Amino acid sequence: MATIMAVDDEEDILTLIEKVLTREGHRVITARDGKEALKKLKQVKPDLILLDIMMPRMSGYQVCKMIKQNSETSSITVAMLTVKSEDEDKVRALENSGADWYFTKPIDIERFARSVEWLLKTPPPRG
Amino acid sequence: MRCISIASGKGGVGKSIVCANLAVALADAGYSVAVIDADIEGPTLSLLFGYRLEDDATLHDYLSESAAEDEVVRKVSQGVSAVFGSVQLTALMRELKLERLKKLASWIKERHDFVLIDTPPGFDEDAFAAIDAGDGIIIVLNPDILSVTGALKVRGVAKRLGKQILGFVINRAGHEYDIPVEEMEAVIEEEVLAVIEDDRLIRNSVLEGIPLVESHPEAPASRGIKELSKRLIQNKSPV
Repeated sequence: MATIMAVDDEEDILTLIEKVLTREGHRVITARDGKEALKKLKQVKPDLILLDIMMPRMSGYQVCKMIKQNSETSSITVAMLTVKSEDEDKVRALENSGADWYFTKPIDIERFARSVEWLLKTPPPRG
Repeated sequence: MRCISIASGKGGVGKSIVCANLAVALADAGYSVAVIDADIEGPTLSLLFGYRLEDDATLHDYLSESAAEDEVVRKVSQGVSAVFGSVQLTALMRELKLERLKKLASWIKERHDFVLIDTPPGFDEDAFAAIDAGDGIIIVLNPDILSVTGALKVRGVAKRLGKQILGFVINRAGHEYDIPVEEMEAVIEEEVLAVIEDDRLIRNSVLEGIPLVESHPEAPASRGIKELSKRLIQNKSPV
């Protein structure tokens, strides 16, 4: 069982992720924005963080950068989960913000569950 | 008549090796093919084809207006012609007119079924000119995150230049922690044209100067290249 943190300002998305990944046997922690996520990361160290980009207060890019710059959290795999599908968005997340992977919404539930298993069983793609 | 740039964004993904082997595979299928080594600062195609450049006119001579089209194109194997780059450091010190690359590609395109342009890595003016000289682009990447971002960036450049994206090729696959093809396809939002396995025979083929598809046609990497060749032949788009 892995611990996965989902960060999204849309309640429906959090509910969906929680349902899918709990069914797969994982423990899911949720946060409704970046600040809440960073606060929770002081108490818990998940195996994977699924991070939306467009959120109030702090963008997912900023949150990811802060996670990757902090030695306490930098080894956690971070995957963006967003509606932003332009190549520039992906490059910004993967290259500038240090994200390990990128998912575009809407998600296919079966495929998404497989992708999460891949991310959990391999070292972060960034290495 | 298809003129295709082979690009990557990130260096060291094996783009030139894919280019040389793809040329041989297309020639084996009965097409006349020309390759242009447009990696101005680091040309390697002459090495990969085992061609010893002596006083031969090169792409650098053409770009500096000291050679004509028919002087720089030479036959290197059955069905494959090539324009090699000069490996002399002094060649880089000449004034090179990069806009002439497109003219050369058009001239060669009229005389061959396929033209493959090996482009330099990175995003400087040499790379832009090499991408712009083709009508379409094939993007080569390794199953790792750095080459994924390089590939996404080069796709952006090609789109801005109005080039047709013919597809992506995963090279050096088959290692334990590779990003799975399914995940790569999800991020690039495009089907992968071919997966070419990493193969220690590639190193030997480089040392021998004989493309792997020619020396070991049944090797796993050769099969990947042949699959790519097949996909290109089947592609009926005008590029």
